[in-house]
Amino acid sequence: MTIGVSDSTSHQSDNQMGLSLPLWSRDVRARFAILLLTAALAVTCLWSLATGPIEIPLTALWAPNSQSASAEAMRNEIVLYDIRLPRVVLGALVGGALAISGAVLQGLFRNPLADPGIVGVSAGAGLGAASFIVLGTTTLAPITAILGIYAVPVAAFVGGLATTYLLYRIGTRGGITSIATLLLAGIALGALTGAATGLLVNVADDQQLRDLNFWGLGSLAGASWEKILAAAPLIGGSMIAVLFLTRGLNALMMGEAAAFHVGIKVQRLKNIAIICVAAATGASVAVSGGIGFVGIVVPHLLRLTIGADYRYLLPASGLLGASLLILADTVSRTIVAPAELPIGIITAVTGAPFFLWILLRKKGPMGF
Amino acid sequence: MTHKLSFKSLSVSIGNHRILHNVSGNCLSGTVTAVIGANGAGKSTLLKALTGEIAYLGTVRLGELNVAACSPILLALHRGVLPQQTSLAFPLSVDEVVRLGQIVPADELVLQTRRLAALEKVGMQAFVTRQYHDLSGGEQQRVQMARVLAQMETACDPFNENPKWLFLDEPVSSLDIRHQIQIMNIAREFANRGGGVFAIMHDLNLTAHYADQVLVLKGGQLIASGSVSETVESNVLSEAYDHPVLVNRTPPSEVPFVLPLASHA
Repeated sequence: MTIGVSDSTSHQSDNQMGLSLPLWSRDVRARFAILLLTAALAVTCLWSLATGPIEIPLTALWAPNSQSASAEAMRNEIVLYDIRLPRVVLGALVGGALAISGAVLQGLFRNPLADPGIVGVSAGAGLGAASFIVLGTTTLAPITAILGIYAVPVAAFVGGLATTYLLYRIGTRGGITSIATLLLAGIALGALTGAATGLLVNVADDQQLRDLNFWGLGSLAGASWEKILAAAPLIGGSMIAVLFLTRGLNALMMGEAAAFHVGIKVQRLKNIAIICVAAATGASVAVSGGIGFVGIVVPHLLRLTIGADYRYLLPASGLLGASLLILADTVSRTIVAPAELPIGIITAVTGAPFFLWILLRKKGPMGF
Repeated sequence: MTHKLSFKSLSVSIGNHRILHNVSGNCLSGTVTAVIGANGAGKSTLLKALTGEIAYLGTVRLGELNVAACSPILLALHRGVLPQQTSLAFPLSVDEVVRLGQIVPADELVLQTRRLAALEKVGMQAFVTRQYHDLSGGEQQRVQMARVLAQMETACDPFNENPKWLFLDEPVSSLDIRHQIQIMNIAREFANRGGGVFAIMHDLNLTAHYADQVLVLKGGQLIASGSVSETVESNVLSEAYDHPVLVNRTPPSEVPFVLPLASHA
């Protein structure tokens, strides 16, 4: 393979021939990475389904209703379809949603450190969901009656949307988003929502307290088909919507004015992106609590390997986020078996040092 | 066919502060219009209004188009804008940056050839796979110029005969002499091919060399406009910059050259 990047103008024809190769290979590499990540996701899913206190042979996945209606086969089937599969599906949905949300927020704020957890969006979504966990059967009962199983995800969505919008308004002056203001405002809003959640904890009963506690660190332990049904429309819809924003997000890397000059309706782009991120984060937080760092780590790793082009970054983030969260969840439920670690501990233990590493490595234009 | 960029009674205020006051003028396609004036004279604001980036009072027409009523994409098909400098939030390769200018989808091979051609025009073809972040300010500026040229190249024209416009905000401020000339030559060639060029300039000597028309702004108002010989002239410039300026002529081409007087002399 010759990669002829010659700086001499006398070799122009050679130059063009030689250059077409690396240019194509960049696109090819990104597509290949997406293929690889798809395969990795499939493998992770199968591994996670087979792993746990009860070892289930992978063959059982393909022949669950085989004639042997033994007790063992029935037990395996229940474990697979009612416990592990919902967890894997939920892990994939939440992991994908958090990673893509992170990538989109980073593009919107033009900063690689933006993340639903760090800028306080998750906290807002948490407050929304907490209010329905605690007050859903009393004060907020009329709304619960209308929304049914969607009450908690929708409340989390509204909470997430409200905080994202507020943060954006506070952090942006004259079209320029100040990341310092944004993070500080995120802390302030986080404290406020935390206080409000604290009030809710005060009036909560025992069962509600248990539910709320599970939120603090995040967990997929409560995965059920019902939760998937509640979260999937919001997550799926917004993830599909953001795939149409790739050109705009790419152009936004040059700043809002330059994006406008190449034909992007910048305000509309920002509005759609914020709504999508709030919906996806809200629904994720509603079903799994606050799982941090996926939104930072995944897009950053991918930018280092396949580049920053959003056409590839978004799908790749979704796939890698899904794989990593399933992986983390499998570790969380096997490492201290039969007990379980909250998955938020795993993502924080691996993600926080990574975050610090980004900070130390990228001083200057990429950091602050 | 000539085509006009015309603006009438243009005023722009930010807060209570009026930055442009009742500015009117016409620029023709096929020519290079330079805007000069001191810092804060309103040059950038004028460019932002003409490109539709900011709200204004008055009218701006780009040929048939009423700029205020156009969608961003329609504007982008008719004009490209080169900012003073462009930093990227995330690392992209030079090729990917030029690609941001290609707003009309086409076969990837065609697009790729056009990107290379645009980079070649600014002498950056050897940098195509390099990271934009790693380039010097001047190199980045040339890549951005290629990006704008790629935008003009791919822009299909719904009005068929209407020329494109190039808006340049201090295009050569971070370039060395050779590349200043290179960029100005590209602008000149763009105009010679029938396009319109509207450039904010700080270098008065380059302005004298390349401009067909000069607009002189001071305190948000147009204090002079006309050919180089009418505007690049001691009285006008001394007035515009509030500083005594000497204008001489280079013997071979009769092009004026400008020498600001050092105040301690």
